[in-house]
Amino acid sequence: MDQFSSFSLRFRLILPFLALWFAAGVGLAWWNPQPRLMLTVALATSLGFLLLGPYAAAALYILRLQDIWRGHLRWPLCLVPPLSTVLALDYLLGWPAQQAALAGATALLGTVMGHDATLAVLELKTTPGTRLDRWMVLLFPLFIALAVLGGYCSLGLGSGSYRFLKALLG
Amino acid sequence: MAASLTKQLERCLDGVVVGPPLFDHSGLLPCMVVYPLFPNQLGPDPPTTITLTEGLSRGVRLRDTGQVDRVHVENPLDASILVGESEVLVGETQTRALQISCLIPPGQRASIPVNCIEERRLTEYHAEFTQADICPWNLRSFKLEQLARHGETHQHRIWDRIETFLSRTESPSPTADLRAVYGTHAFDLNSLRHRYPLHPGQCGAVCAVGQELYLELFSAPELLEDRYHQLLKSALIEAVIAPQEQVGSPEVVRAFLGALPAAGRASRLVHPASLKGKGRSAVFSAQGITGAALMADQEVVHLCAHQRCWGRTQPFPDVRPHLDQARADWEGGAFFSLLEEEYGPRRRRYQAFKEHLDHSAPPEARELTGRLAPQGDERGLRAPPPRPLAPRLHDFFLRIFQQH
Repeated sequence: MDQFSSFSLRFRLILPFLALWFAAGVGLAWWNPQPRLMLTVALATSLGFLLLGPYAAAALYILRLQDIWRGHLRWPLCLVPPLSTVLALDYLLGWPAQQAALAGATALLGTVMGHDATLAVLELKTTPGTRLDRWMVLLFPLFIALAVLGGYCSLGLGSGSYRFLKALLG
Repeated sequence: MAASLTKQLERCLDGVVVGPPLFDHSGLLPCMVVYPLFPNQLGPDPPTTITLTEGLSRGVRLRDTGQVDRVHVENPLDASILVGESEVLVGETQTRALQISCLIPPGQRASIPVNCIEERRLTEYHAEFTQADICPWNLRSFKLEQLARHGETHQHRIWDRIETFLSRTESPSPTADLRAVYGTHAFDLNSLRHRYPLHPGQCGAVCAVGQELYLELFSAPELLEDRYHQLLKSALIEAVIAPQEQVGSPEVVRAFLGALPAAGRASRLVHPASLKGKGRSAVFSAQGITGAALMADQEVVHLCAHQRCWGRTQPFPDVRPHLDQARADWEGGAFFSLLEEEYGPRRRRYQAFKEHLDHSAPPEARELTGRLAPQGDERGLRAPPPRPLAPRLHDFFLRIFQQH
């Protein structure tokens, strides 16, 4: 049996990655504890991963733009979907500058991950003898969102517990 | 013949330059380095030959003759078809591998020599082969040695070799199909092949794998481009199944290329008698080098060769500075930008040529293969393969999304 044969074993592989997102959640709560910012990060990353990344991959592939300028054009072109989406939402919803910047950065990160994840999924689907774990594909962005949320809540819980204990013990 | 081959090999190898080596920077696969080969000068005209994979999707028909060592090929197109040495033919019959490279001229039918690589499956008379793949170098070098020594291959020895190979690589197959090894190592092959990308205008590569050197060289970059993934897989599988610490340095590769023409002196013509055309195939074995060359119009269309470098390889950490130096030597030069400028228009013309073949293929060929009709116009517009933004991230996703 392969070491990555079960979901739980492969889940261990993503733990360091999730730890980074957890730390990002803690950092976000420390910097600015407004819940809307945390929700923005979680949603922008997940939507970037699930929608904008696959969209960017499809656009690059179908429009034959992947090899232009020795392939370096892929990066700037991947900026277009997340940034235009955030600009449009910012225009419609009137976000504060801080929130718009955070949404743009995290949507971009999610798009890059979504792009490469899409290629990996396509490769696994088209290679004979390999099987795609659809659950992992769907749950991975959710795990990221939960890790950010967990980090955010942990700081609040830790801080609250500290204050409670401090008040209790005098 | 031998003197002629030596001269042609000399001319062919004088016309190429060894590019910056490609290796796995993460150190996961230290036993494989790919040394790309580039033409010194690239002519303005693309080839008028297409590869077998491209031909199969455009109406070229390959049928089982019912004999283990022969398949029937029919080329209805207006272009010659390059069938490559050890190209694997897959269909609803026993899987075969071509013995040698040869050119199938336009409009010709012929019977070409093959080896069976699926011992426990029966042949189906008149069954069609619809896909092409490639043999691992382990079998290719063995076949070439046999051909060079005896002028023919012994099928039972090929089967024995495959059985040992499948057992050693823990690749069970109920029909003893050689391709099972690719299924067993599919994950590694998929995740590692991106580390050795093809450069536009590249016409060949020397793959240094452990103590072995494997060469593939084509007369035109377009032909390599259409077969690169197969050819890389043929060498990569050897690195994956037998990881080592040793690898050939740039000096070893230069010595190999320098010794190749002399090895061509001990050559043997192995061209199929039923093939009428300008191509001639020869195999050679001398000075520890075994290879095969397909020649046409005074040029080498396809050259493949293998050398064992026992005692001349070094541990990867010792070779790494030489590789870094070789890469640094190439940085900042105008060679690649010039090559890309020359190759771009050629490539576009070659794509247009292939697209034209889609339309010129006879209607019956389209109907029989069942693939040309729906894909006719799409094929010319086929997009280049997708490339990840961050290869490490892509490998990470391959690892976590794959269920065994």
